[in-house]
Amino acid sequence: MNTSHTYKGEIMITTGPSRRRRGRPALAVAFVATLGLAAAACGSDDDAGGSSSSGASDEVITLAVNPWNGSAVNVAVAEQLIESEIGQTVETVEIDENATWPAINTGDISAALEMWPSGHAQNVADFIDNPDGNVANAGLLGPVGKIGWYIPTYMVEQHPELATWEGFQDPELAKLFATAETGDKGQFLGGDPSFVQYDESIIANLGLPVEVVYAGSEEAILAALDAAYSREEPILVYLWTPHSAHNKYDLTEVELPAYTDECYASAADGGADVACDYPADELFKIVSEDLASSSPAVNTLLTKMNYTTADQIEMLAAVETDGKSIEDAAAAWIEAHPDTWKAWLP
Amino acid sequence: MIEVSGLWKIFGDASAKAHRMASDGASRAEIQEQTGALVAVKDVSFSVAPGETFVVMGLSGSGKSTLIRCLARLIEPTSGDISICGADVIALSADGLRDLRRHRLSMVFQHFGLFPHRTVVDNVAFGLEVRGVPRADRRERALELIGTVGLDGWADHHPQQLSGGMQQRVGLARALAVDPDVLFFDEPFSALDPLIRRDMQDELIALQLRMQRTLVFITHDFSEALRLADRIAIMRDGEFVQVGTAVEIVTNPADDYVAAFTQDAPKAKVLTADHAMEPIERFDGDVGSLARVGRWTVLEDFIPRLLSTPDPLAVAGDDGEVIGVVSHADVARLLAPPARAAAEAAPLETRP
Amino acid sequence: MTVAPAADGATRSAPGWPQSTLARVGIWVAVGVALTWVASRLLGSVGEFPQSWDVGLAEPISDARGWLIDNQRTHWLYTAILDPFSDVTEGAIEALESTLLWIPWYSYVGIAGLGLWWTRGRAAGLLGVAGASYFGVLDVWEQGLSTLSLMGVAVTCAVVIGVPIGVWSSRSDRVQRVARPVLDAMQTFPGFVYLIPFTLLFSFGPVTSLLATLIFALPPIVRATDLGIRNLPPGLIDAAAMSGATERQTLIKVRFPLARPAILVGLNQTINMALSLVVIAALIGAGGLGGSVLRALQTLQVGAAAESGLAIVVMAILLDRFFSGLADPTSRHDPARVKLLAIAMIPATLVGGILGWTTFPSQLTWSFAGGIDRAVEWAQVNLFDIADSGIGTGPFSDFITIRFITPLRELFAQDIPWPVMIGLVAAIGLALSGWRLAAGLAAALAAIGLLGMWELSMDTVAQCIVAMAMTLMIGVPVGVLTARYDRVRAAIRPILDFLQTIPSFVLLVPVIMLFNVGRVPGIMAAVLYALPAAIHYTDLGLRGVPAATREAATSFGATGRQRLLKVDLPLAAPQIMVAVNQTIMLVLSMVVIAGLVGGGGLGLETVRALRRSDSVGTGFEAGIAIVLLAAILDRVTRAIADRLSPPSAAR
Repeated sequence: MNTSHTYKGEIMITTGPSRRRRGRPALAVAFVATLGLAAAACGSDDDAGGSSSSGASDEVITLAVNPWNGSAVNVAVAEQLIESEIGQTVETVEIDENATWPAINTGDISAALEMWPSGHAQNVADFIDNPDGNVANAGLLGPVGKIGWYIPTYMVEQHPELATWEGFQDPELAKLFATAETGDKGQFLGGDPSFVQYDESIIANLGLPVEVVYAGSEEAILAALDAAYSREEPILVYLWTPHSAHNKYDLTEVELPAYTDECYASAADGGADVACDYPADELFKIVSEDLASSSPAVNTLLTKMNYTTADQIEMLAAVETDGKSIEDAAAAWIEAHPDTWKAWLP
Repeated sequence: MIEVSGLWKIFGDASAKAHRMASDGASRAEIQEQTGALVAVKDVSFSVAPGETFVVMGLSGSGKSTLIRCLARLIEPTSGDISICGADVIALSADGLRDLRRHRLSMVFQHFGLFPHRTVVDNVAFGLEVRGVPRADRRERALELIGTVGLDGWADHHPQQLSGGMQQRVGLARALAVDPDVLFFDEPFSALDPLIRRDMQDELIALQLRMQRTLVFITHDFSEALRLADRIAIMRDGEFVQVGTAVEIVTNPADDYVAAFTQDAPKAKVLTADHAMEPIERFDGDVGSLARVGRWTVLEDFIPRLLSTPDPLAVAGDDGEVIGVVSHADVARLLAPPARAAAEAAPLETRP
Repeated sequence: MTVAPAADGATRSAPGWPQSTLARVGIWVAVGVALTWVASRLLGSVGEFPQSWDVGLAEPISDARGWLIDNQRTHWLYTAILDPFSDVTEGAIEALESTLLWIPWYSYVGIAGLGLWWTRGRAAGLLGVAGASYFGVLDVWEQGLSTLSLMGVAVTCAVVIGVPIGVWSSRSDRVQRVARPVLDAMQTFPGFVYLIPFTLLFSFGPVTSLLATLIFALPPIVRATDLGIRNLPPGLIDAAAMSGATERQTLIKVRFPLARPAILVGLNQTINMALSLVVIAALIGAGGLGGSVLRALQTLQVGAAAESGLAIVVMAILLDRFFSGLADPTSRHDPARVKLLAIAMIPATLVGGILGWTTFPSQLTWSFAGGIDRAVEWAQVNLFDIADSGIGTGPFSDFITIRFITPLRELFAQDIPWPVMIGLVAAIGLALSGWRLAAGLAAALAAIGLLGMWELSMDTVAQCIVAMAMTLMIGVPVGVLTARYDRVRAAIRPILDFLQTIPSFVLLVPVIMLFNVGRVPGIMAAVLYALPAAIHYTDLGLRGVPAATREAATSFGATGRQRLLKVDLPLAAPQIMVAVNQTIMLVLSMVVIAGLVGGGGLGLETVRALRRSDSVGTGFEAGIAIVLLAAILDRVTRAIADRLSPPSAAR
């Protein structure tokens, strides 16, 4: 389904979600219904125990695939486990992460498995904390993400001072990163306007001779990075980990003053006083509140689902460097780590 | 058949004021200057008898097209009365007007007004179609008329595949298809080549001889008016300058404006032996030896005979009695342009 | 018809020729500057638009969003109207898509071939066969059908809604007066901006894309129907009236069939517009070819993006050729044979459909993505700064930024006080037309300030001006060449077609790689996008110069150059202003795209709103600011075009 290489980004891609959502499910529902009838005919003694212990239902589970591979492998693991261990049908929808929230709120989508908290404060307030909201926090996924400032490693080799933010205090070094847009100052290539970004505050508060230029999209950052890298030119960009760009380019994170809660005290009001590194993002899952009643077993599995950054990277590497399909990578991981996922079962 | 009295059409907002000024004798230019309104038709009255061909002749801007559109109420007249086939056209409701157009009144247009998306037969049948005539009937009738105007075999072509003259035949057939009592022609032949135009005029004359409809025909071509008309109205600046038969106008133009048209008019086609002859009383020769010509024969038709002898011709009256004599000099006097105009025109014309 | 000159034709003073216009504009502008300068001194507020005046749509819109979230599941608006509507439309799109998927692949090749053969001749038929096969060869068959079905439903809706509105508007001047500005706004509002409110209403999926597409694609068909019905030769309507046809009969039997070619031309445009938005709608999950393009771009696979992008171009060109051929009823080729083959295709389609021969044979697929990728890679290394000589795309980009864009932006946003700016624009309006235009322009500009979008708008204006200047500097000379040499025209036509229909964001990644992130890539993309229109209208204007006039100039011994400068270009000036006008509109529509490549300005705000749920309000404001800017620039250029027209003959 999602065999393409996608990165964490904000653009939603849907390859004909409609067809998948209608065409196959109808068949699938019929199939499940037939099975159900057969089961009922075979023995009624299983009836009460069966459904209450497994919590399985006829409902088709819809999982959101947000457009980056991390999200896709999470979903592939959950999809395969739900289908094999609980026996409910799963379909997936490729969708933008912001559009995911209202879709889960209406129940059109059952769950999304990788949300970056730094980007969704408003959504959490609107959909989870709001008593009228219909979205539940399903706990942490496990992997931890982090936003940071990155430069190509060849820059650090030429100018070791640039490994930390202090190196950028030197106007001469900062000027290496200058462009026509920034004049004498160095250019910091900011991201998609929807990303969480405190770079302007950080730069101002640390007094760096650097100016932010917004690339406007993740593609633009990557294109600029690719171009600079191919010409071995200086570039300073906003990027995060885990991200598959790290597989393709040798990048070094610029060390910023360490994160503290005090430093981010002003974050809620726009973050004008922020002068330190980004916090780690503990990725979390969200589900529709309806799920607990309609498919309790699935709800339990998704809520318990939790693995490490290493687990996720194992699959991402299989996909991004070995060229495996998402499904195969997930199947291989399931094969190799029964202990991890057995704990999630209801 | 058609009665028009006191018809006015004024374009523009200040029509009341323009009306007043015009009635007080102000010129069209003055009125337009002061009010912005344009007096297109100014107090026109006339009547057309059944079977008569009434031609309105005027130059562009004279208001003749506006006049015929007012008669058909394609344009609402500002004031006046129009009666066609006994119907008070001004007072007619939309339904009544439609009824009149469906059954008694047709029009042939300058640029043919044919529907490019319909075949010839469907164009001709259009009036019957909107009237609700069943398909087979209207097709039969349309084919009959297509034959009448000489377009057999073209029925299923589209108008744009036809030459201009053929297109106007279609226009004519369409107008005739509803079997109207009255036909309006708005410069129908002006877009055609001269030779084709002549053919169409002949055709119309022949048709009219057979069908005897009441025709109102607009043209800017004086010789066309002379050929077709029972009576001609000369129109200028929205007014009728002169109304009369071809002969009346040619022989007795009301003013210089009309005279200017008659100057180059083919008088030989209009005037007859009657106009040219000297009464028999003034002739002292032997009438019996002269060749004879009918009183109403047009000059064109007897001039060759006249030129073949040095003698004059005897003119026979309606009862066959010789009533006069026409000589070379008589004819020359009638046809020669006025001396003054000829003298003025000559120097200009000789210069290359 | 000989006696009805327009009442105002004679009384109004004839519009002046360029020289006197310039002088008058100069005087008015000077007066305007002086007055507004004094005013701005008195006000004491110079420079940026006062922020405290921001009326802010952002908050109410965000409130509305909150309400929608709270009531999305329960309110009757959803349960009784929106949800059922959403289900029905979705069902229609899906039904169409599955039908299209059922039809065997060779039927599409056949339909495309026969359709173009019938409407345009055999060569075009071969083009149709090749074009339809392209989808199979490059393995974008399903995406293509997905795009086609969404577009099909959108266009059907546009026709069902648009034609009656067009008829209504053609019968009533009042309706037309109301409809016209609405249609204008619908077309200028950046497609992106539609997507935002609709994602709120329908969360995600095809319905949202459909509605956004519908709004974007509706104006051409409404306009074409209206114009087609209005602009019939008057003789025909008289003829119908004299035959005693009722209004209704005239409409059905005469007006409508006669307007058919015009309506088909409108339909063709509607299809084009729909296609362009269906592609953008990939951003909100419309999938299809647009989705493939976006997905490829996210991993910088320019080649793969180009393959899908080219498929969109092919689809656009096939549809365009077919419908423009259909609009011309005299252009029909071998109808008997085409009919025979078409009939023969019915059983072939049924058999193939039942047997499931739907997918293109995979042995025939082929890809050129690798080649493009290598070319782009080569270009980004080797063209950026050729042999370190200071010549190349990189230094060029810097030059444009430093010499033009930055100074202009500073001039508009900072150096010229905002009241002076408003005064200037009003003065231009006054000089060109009159108080009405002046007041309208000033109000629109002030509204931009009140929305809090002053600085961003000025940034965008600066970029637009640079893009427009570059477009015209290239487009007008090329237009002169194409007007003179048919061969040049024939040679560049496919390039222009390509530039006009390739989804603009396919160009983004290579443009960034060549020109650095910043304002220049957006401008370059805009130039490429607007160039075809500039060339087309220049060409049209020059070709419209009457041959007799040109012969007259030649007979007086004018050289080719003199003729061009003294006769052809002045006479073509109004059309060239149309070129300017179109260029501005197209450049503005690229503003949002520019926001995706570091262009900043209003585009960035719009992108932010699309991507981020809590900034819908500001995005909407930015969208309105774009519309207002478009309206201002449109009216000004149109007024200039009016001025440049030779006085019309007094009848």
